Amino acid sequence: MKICVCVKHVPDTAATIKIDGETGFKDSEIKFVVNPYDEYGVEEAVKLKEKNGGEVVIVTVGKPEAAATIRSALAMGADRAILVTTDSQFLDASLTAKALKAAMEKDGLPDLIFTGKGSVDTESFQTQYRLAHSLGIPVVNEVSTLSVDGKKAVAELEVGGGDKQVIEMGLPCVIGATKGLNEPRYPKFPDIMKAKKKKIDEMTLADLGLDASAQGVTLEKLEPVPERTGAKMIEGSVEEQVTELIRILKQDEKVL
Amino acid sequence: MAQVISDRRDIEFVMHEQLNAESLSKIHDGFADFNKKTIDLIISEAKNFAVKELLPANKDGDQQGCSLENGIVTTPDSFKRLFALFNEGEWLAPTEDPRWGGQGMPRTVASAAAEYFNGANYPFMMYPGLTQGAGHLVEHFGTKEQKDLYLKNMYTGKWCGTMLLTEPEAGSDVGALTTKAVPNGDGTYAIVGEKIFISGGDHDLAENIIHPVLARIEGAPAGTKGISLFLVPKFRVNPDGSPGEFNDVICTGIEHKMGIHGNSTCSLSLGSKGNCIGTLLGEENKGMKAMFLMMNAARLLVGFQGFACATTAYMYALDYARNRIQGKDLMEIMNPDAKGVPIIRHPDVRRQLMVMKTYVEGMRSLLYFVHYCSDMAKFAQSDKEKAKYQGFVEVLTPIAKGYVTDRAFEVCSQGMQVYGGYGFIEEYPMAQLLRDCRITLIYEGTNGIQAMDLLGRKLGLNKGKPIMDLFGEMQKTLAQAKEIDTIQGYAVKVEAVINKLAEVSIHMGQTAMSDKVLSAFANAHPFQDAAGDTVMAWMLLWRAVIAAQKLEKAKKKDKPFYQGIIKSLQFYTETMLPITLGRFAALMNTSGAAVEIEDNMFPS
Ligand SMILES: Cc1cc2nc3c(=O)[nH]c(=O)nc-3n(C[C@H](O)[C@H](O)[C@H](O)COP(=O)(O)OP(=O)(O)OC[C@H]3O[C@@H](n4cnc5c(N)ncnc54)[C@H](O)[C@@H]3O)c2cc1C
Repeated sequence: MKICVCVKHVPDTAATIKIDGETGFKDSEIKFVVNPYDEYGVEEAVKLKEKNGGEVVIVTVGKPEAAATIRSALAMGADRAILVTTDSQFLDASLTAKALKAAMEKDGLPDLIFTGKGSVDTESFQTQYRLAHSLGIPVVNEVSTLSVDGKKAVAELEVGGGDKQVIEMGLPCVIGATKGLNEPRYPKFPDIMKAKKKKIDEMTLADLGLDASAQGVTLEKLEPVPERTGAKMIEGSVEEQVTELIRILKQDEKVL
Repeated sequence: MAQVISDRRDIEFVMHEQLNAESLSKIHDGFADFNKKTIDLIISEAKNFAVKELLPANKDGDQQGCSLENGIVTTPDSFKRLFALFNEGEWLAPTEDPRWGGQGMPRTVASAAAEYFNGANYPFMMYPGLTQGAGHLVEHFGTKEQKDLYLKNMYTGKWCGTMLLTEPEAGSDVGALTTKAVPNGDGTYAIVGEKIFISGGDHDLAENIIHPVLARIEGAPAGTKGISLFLVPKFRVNPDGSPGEFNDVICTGIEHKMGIHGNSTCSLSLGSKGNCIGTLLGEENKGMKAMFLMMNAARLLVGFQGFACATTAYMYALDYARNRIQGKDLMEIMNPDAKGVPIIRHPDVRRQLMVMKTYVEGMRSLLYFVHYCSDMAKFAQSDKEKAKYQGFVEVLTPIAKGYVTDRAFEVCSQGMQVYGGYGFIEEYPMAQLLRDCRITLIYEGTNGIQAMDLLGRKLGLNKGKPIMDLFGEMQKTLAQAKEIDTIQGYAVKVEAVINKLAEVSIHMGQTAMSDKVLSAFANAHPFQDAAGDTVMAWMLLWRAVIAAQKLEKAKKKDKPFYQGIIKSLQFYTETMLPITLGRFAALMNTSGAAVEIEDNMFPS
């Protein structure tokens, strides 16, 4: 079985991001990591490979620096990688999906595709759907339990209130991984050593016949989140608290 | 806050720009794979593991600590998962021989992993650290049988290791130990004795614990000359490698300590029921020398522990100083409308941060350099070079342990100061760092013992060749620095101190061999301070040479980093070196007051 895992190179959420100009940020000053949700995808793919054999290919659309991030995913046990290079961190989801599709078609379509449920930088939650749609295959997002056998996959996702949805679908399909699916491993020291010898195929958008300027969504502006002001605790009995809350909403904040 | 432990940029600076660790891949086939990219990946993964797993368990370890109930020592809950993960990652024996389950990593490279791991949770790291060290002894002195029986299980963390030297009457003076070994007639020995203060002496992390034990064979000479080294497992090991019968090693107590609560400190009773069997490791009566292989490595590790507390304290303090708003800017002090500023704006807080910055940077460069020297001592091209680097390791070990941990504790204390009252409150990280750091000045040979080693043994080692070689190395840095306009002024000041060290070393060496020997040793610790200051100045100058050379063509983001390195040199030469010169002046007095004063002149 051939499995592709779409991995995005994103800023570490613990990093302090300094905005630079209108739409840029000082990315040379911060650390990048494998998008945390994609790690669940990598782990699941590697586990399937360990069980059934086959191959795990990392596919990334990102800046050339993403190669270092890809090495971490390779150290977790993936076999090789494809990096479609772009100049921007903020490629829109439709172009990203097109690039992923083109890269996979060029390499040979896989039997199973993993993405994360979303990326922690742009959080647009679209790439997996657009990719599946363009390939004409099923997609399920936020999968927290998965079993794959032969020609089908069964995915479970939490739908709130303790309920679960169980979805069966044919392969190939796209699985958007999330927390709970597994516990991503830390690379073993020997696997870190092996990772550097694994192949990363680099290509540009143009090599895949895609035009970087043909984006449906463009980034207008980045702004820092204003610092949160202190919360106000309302004291008293439940009745007093509710009365005071309504007063605040009406008089102070004028939202009612 | 972002949990950082260390300054990644500075680690890379020392690794690649100061020591060019990648060049090690060319001198030894086993290092061939360690190019820059791989080294960086190793650093990233070590940091990742440290921040995500080791660090969160550090406070747990401190609060829950270890307990002894019904003869069973229990470690903090979170340590069990941690130890399993650590072993799965195969991080336990990074620098050991791959033939026996090690990873064959250069020590230089392992320094960065050690910095992150120890900075995140060094009480935990003592379990794998001692296991690696004990394994190294087996690898070096073991018979084929001993190696086959123990080594793989130790290097993979299935079994743990320790070191058993200390007894109630044998602390600094290991030669006073009374643990006995009686030949059983079948090549094994019956071991009987009491050991105390044994780190990781008993615990629930591994199914067996292998103790290297110093003991005296019946009838052997007194003192260190009669000491032999034995391997004593907690559970005997069957010839097929499976753990067998309990070997009568009983934990009779664990200590309640100021810090490192996560690491069990055990009193062990060996053979109290007459059932403890050990096998000789190495030769009879050569145990002390053999044990020094582990002790020297452990001394460097203790230097790393102290330093790791210091770098972590520095990073926390820096973050706190940027965020804590308190007091007006000094220039606005008369303005009633002036707002409070982050305390990093206050000159006195900046001074404290500079003290922390310069020491942390200098210590990092020194410790990584010592590890680099151990790599070179093993794999340099010629025997002459090997001997030179081995000499550096030996001379610098007391400084890397004694001087570094003394300063590291000061850095932690400065860090607490930056936090103000919050530094003293256990909810914040400083209190634990300061408490944990304190033992590094004591165990593995107190810093007083380190100073005596420097003065009494290392100065005159091989007729003074290593120390002369070291001066030669310092001269090279001085020559380079004097060529660079921006730092040559500082180079002249550093040179004065280096020359002074040479002069005072001769004086101290001579005094130690005269009838004023006691006065000389009363000044051993101040001498270690002054020698350490000088080595620190050399490191800061070395760093500044590189920074100054790179500054002009540096990328925009690197400029402040390199400028900061030169500022560290400026700060050190302008504020600390005058004190060092004062220390040298004091050493030339070689005051005898401390040894001349009669005991009855102290209060009774
Ligand atoms: C938490 C902890 C963990 C430890 N782990 C281990 C371990 O794993 N294995 C192990 O074997 N030991 C271990 N030790 C023991 C440790 O190495 C000793 O405590 C240390 O070497 C000092 O010995 P002592 O405590 O008997 O002090 P002493 O030797 O009594 O020293 C008291 C003071 O006198 C000074 N002094 C002593 N002799 C001289 C001298 N000849 N000249 C000048 N000054 C001298 C010392 O510097 C010190 O300041 C541990 C101790 C602790 C507290």
